[in-house]
Amino acid sequence: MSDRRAVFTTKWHIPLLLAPTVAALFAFQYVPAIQALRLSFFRARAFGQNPEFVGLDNYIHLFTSAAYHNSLTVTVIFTLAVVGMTMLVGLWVSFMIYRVSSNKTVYMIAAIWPYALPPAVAGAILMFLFHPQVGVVSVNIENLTHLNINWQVKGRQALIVVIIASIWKGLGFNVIFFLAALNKIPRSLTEASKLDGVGDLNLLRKVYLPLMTPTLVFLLVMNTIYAFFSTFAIIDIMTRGGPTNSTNILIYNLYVDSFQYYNLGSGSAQSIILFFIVAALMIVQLRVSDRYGHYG
Amino acid sequence: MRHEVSTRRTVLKSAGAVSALGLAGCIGDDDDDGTDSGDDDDGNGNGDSATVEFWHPLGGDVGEILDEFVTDFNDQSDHTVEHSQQGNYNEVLDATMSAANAGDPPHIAMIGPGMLYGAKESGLFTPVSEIVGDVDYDQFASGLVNFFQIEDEFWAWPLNNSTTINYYNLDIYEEAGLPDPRDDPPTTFEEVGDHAATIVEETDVSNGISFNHHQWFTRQWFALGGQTLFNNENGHEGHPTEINLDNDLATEIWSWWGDLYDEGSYLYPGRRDGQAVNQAFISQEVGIIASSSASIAGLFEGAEDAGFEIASGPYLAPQEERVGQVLGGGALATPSDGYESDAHRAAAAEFLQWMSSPEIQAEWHKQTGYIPMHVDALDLLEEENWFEERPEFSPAVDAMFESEDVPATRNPMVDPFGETMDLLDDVFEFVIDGTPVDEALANGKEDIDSVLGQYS
Repeated sequence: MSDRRAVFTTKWHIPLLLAPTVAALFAFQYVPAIQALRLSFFRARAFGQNPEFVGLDNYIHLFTSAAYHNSLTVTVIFTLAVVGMTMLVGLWVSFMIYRVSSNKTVYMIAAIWPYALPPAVAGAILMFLFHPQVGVVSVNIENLTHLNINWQVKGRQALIVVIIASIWKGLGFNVIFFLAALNKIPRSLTEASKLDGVGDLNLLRKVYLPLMTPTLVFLLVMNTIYAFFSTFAIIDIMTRGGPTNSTNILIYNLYVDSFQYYNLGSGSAQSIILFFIVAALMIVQLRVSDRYGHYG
Repeated sequence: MRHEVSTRRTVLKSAGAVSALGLAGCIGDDDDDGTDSGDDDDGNGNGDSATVEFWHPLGGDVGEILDEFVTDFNDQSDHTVEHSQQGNYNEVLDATMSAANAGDPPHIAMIGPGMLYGAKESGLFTPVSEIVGDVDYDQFASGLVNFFQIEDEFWAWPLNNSTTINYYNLDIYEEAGLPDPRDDPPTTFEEVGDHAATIVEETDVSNGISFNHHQWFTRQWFALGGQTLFNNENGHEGHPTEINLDNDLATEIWSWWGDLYDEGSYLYPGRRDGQAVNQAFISQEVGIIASSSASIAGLFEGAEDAGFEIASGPYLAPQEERVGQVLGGGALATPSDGYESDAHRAAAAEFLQWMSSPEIQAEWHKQTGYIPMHVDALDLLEEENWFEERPEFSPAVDAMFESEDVPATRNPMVDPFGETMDLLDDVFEFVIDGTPVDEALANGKEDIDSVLGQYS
């Protein structure tokens, strides 16, 4: 009688099987990360030539720089708005699609479509829609409300525009997961609630949401990463961080410093800071979700 | 300054195509400014032929014109120049830098003027004057020579250079009852501002004037007013530690510009969008624009297609005084490591001298609109009555040949150039967002000085 589960009798296969993954992780994750950490202690001049060791200078400069503080504030506002609104709107849209009885697929495709667009294309489309002089959306809002839309000049408006654009772009991804979660909820619960006379909003809030917490946590993490990193293309195409640096989120600031100003030292320091911010956020989010999340 | 390249429509069609053979024939064998390598008889020794690699960002029509010139050079020389487009100015620089770090850079790289100081400091480039040998600077336009000189060395060889000029819509001028700008062009802030206001009042045109929100246009005003942008003589007497935004000229520039915007005379095209300015002009949304002289062909063609008449004139200046203007476009720099042999040096030198010779420069100017760098090219063009036939080409050429060689008109020697210039462009964004001019300038100065301090 042999133990049928023991396919491997020796232990050497463990490192062997892990090797390809570990090698790939080393080559493309750990080595560049260590390089970035090393670079962050150097300052180069003249297009990245002749780097000179400066210790923690890059970090000190960032922590005392008003421009970097501004970028941090912008990122916090931007991330809170994008993550919060994407999930709220995404949940509402999914709930509506879930409940609708006819043409469900049409609504679903319409909601998910923006997610299929490359961010750069999405940015270009929204740029035309919201263009202060010729954009269909801007012109109609101006005509209806007598607001003066001029987000190429007004920083606050620009921030609102890129937030709306990022929410629109991120919506489809959320809808896919929300719909999947909603469809997993047993019908019997809905029927029981209906019989008890539970209203739509309460049904969503008190019955569906608690059952969807694993999805909520997952989307919270993914949306945070999205807001921090993947909105780069939208910012780059629509505002380039301006005007008056009002849309200069950390990832954009990092890109400009590293690849336009050739200031690789500061850029690396910023990427290390960004890594710790996002890592800390992840830990907090997962801890919190452990406490409130219901898995199964 | 990519916009100059991308907006250009060639003058080729209007100037008349010049056959490659005819062009080569112009030079003939009396090319006595070539070096010993041009000696046809000597098959060995110094006369060894070499192939020179030349990287540049010129695509489209200008790229094709450049290709014709390079082909002509190769036809008449023992040496060969192989040119290739490598994206935009930044990408050419990136590619050149990585190639130089790997020990195999091109022999000639076209870089933007703002990159010159950084290129020098990188230690990867040799002054082009060392490659060419004796350079007779007197043969070149003063405004071009002093722009690329650092401490008496020529760091880049001018080739495709332009400057800013004004353009007027003559139909709108007539409608507004303003005097013909061809006879009496408005040249100062005050005159141009008055004209713009009159246009808004007297016609249906929504805004009087537009020009690009780009540091190149701002730096022109400092040069015209004779004010250095950076201390230490614009960085020519040591790396600058301060930007000069705390003077009357700076206040005048940003106050006038901000008022122009507030009064509704200025169409704000967005940050660094020269294309939007040209489009607004062609669709007759504005009566006056300032734009690159490299846009002449495109704008004149566009206006003709749209059925209205335009003229060009000198770039608007803060005051009557016009000390000089600064250049845009690219110039040819020489990475050190590319020159394996004397033959390579000789080949590069021959090509550069050939490109800047009077006949070639006259043709180059006619086809591309770039400022001819050779003094004698002007005589050739005048003999052909070029400027009488095409008066729109005069203002930019005049500006660069009349430019005084003072620190204010020199290329600012500053590293990092890109970052300081971005911060300079921020100032106007704050002004039109409601920050008082003095405060915006003080903040801008503080930010830029801190960046300069970090690198000094």
